[in-house]
Amino acid sequence: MRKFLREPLLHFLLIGIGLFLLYDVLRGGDTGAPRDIVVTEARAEALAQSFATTWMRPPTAQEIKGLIDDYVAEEIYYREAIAMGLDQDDVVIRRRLRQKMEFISEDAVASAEPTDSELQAYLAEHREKFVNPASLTFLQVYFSTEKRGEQARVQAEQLLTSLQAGRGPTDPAAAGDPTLLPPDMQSASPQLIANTFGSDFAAQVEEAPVGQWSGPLQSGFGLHLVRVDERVPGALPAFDEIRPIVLREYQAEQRTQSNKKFLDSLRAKYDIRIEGPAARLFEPQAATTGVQGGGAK
Amino acid sequence: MNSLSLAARPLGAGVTATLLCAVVASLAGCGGGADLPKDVAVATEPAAETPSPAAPTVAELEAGVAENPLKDAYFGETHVHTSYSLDAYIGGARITPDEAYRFAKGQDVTVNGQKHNIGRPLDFVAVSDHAEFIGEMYSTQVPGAKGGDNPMLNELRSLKSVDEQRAWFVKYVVSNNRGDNPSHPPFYAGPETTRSAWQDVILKAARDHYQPGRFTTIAGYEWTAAPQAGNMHRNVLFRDMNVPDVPFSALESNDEEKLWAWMAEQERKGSKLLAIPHNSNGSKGLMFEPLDNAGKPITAEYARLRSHFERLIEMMQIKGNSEVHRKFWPADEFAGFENADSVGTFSNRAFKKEYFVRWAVIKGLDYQQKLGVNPYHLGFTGGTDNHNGLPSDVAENDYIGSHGPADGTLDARRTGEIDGWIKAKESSPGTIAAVWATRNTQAAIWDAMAARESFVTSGPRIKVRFYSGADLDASPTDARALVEQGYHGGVPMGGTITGLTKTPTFTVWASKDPDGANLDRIQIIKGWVDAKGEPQDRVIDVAWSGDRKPGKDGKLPPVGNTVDVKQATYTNAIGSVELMGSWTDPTFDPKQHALYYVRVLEIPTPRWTTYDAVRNNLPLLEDVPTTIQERAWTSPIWYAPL
Repeated sequence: MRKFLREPLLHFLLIGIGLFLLYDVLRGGDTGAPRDIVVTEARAEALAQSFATTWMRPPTAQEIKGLIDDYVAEEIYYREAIAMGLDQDDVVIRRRLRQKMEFISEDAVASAEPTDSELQAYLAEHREKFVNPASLTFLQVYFSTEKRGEQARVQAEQLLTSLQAGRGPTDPAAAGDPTLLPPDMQSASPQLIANTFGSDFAAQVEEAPVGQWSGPLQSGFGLHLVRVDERVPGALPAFDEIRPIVLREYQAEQRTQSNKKFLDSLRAKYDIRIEGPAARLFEPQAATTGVQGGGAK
Repeated sequence: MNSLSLAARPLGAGVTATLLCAVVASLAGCGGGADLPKDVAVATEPAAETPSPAAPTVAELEAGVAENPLKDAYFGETHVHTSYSLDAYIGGARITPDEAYRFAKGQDVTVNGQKHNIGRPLDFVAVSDHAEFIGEMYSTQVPGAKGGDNPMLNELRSLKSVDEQRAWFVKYVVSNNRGDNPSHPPFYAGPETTRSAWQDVILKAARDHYQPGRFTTIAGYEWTAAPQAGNMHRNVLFRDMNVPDVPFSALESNDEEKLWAWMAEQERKGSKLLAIPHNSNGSKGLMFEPLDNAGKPITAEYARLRSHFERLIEMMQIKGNSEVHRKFWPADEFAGFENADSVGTFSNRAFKKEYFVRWAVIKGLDYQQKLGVNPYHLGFTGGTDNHNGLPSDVAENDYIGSHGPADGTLDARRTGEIDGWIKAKESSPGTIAAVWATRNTQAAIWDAMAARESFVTSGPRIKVRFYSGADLDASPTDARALVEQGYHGGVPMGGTITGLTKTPTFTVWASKDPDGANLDRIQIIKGWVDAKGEPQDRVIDVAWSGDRKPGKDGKLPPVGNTVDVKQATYTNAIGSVELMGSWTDPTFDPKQHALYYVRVLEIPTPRWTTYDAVRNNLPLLEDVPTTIQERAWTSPIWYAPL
């Protein structure tokens, strides 16, 4: 019996039935007169079944009557309690019902299997989420501002002029300062470049011309002349290669969207007024934080 | 997350899910106005995540990642709690393991109602939820999970105020967990919920987010033993996805020797795993006890197991710095860093020298001599212990707290405490773990940890290399040559040099956080034990910025301070972007066990409390430092006579 009570199937059924009843009550119970309590044959059987699981024997007629009486009592209490609004101030009931609604909302998404064409459309719309990062191959010559002060820029520019005129030294790095930074990077992603040289440098080298010396670029370390030899833009892998990832992202986004839609659709039924000083937070031009009133996670 | 666990169940759940969906679809589709469906649809098999034939396998993706034999530095997190940690959930954490990985990769998440972004993505993460109650958290969070309707969980979901949360936690969890026989709370729905949480949520998130070469996830969890409120916690990390069905938690045993026995059993079954202890500062001495749990002096077997499984220790995290404390190391002028004194006053955890990492790793040399094995053969790593589900959320200038409501508001951070542990204002955002690895894959990152080729910083992405050998170049000028020589003619951090006839040379370089503050200096800390077996240490400045000269007392003058505390700003007008140097130990004794580790200091920058005050136009707090010198620590290099 304990095991039966823990069975998720049972929980789902109970949630479903509870929701149905709740919904029914809220709508004024148009599937039967509000004052009717009908114990169907199926309900009686379920009660008997549950008894049997506990006691390892079927209930007697007297016991069945007792079970039904108890069920009716519970139903009456439940309806009256709801009618009296006893659930309203009870944070336990409110939170639990909210969570049940959120679960239901999530499950609706969970079981919807998208088609390949839906996934491909999603992929096309969210290319940036799936592209392999761009990569850059470049050389750099470092000028330490710590060592050279203001001369660093002047000297870097002099070397640049020579290099651009094809008159530079054969080993340009030797004309710069020794550094722990790598003299070159091969097929490096923007993230790796930023981790190595800092985000400012990464943004600038992204724009540097290919096949010629340019700079000096400023980093947190000093100044750099760079020669970008190859820039490979981020490429989208074939759909088949990343289908599982696209599916996962699609479903994650669907979950967020659908939870929001679900709440929005419910919200549309209500006229919400915020009073007092907080009201200004909800004026159309006041944006953003702290205004979501509902269960969107 | 939920869909797949449901889909995996062959029967029942699918049918009901479909019924519910039908109910929902009608509710959602028409704003609640339509009739409910009369009959139940036949269950359709929900989407299973079957890889399409063309999708490359993990092994194929890993095979395509290039290796760098000279290694690269990778930064990450091995200590973060999500909504699957009971205490985090109670505190309002709703970030799941899946979302924690997303945050680490640079995606926005919402915490305490605010959008938050890590700014700089990480290279690797292990989500380390408290294993003890993951089953309970599965029941609490997954629709239809077994046990989900338990009234105590209804209570849990409804906790509002911090006081309510605290009371509930003490009632059901703390009282169970800090005794001698910790047990599951009464709302536990059985081992299958633990299995589902581990496999369908925690490991699934690790599988989903692993991108060989770009982002590594590490399967792991926290073993949370706290007998008598003394911290014995360990994070258990696996080399790959060859992992047991369920984790071994402190509810199975809060005896670390039992944990190692279980780890040994997993090794025999083909898993590779290691454990990382943390917060020795709050261990009430239990972390480095001279006695085992039976009350007998520790043996060679104890030491062998411990050193085999415990390769690294977390140097510092939110609950303070465990390296040293200014009170016990008065000669170390930089020992007063994030000492978290209130950790030493809460729960009767009076600090002692023996709780600190520097003492312990040096004491290990004494055991090495007496037992032939060093139980504290520990490299250094970092972590946060963030309970908001945010891995390596370590930026001082963007700190939003780490423990739900306990430090989730400005006022709580300035005046509150993080339950039973520490005053919020004395906490820190925690540290970041780093390894030198040949590439960014699960195996390579774990192997670097196992080899102790690991370092840690208090937040900045400082990089530091450290080598020792008899024939290394004593005046290095070329960084690449230093590294090549270090690997070919010496050992890197975490390694051991043995049986030298001449004095070893130590070479070191450090490079600032490319987006952060300049460096003040590089120090080497030497440790050895005296004739009585007492740990001794010495701090040596090896390389520093500018043309400072050590004074008559041998101390280098301070680097200066550019921080404007009124604006919470600093400039890089002082300090160096890179430092390189070497050191030869003048008191080297080839017959004496010793260890050497590196500490790199940044120039002073504003502490998070200063940023917090300035941002909110409030006075600076008077009893915490306004500026700090962030730092990096490398794992030691050990010297062992033959």
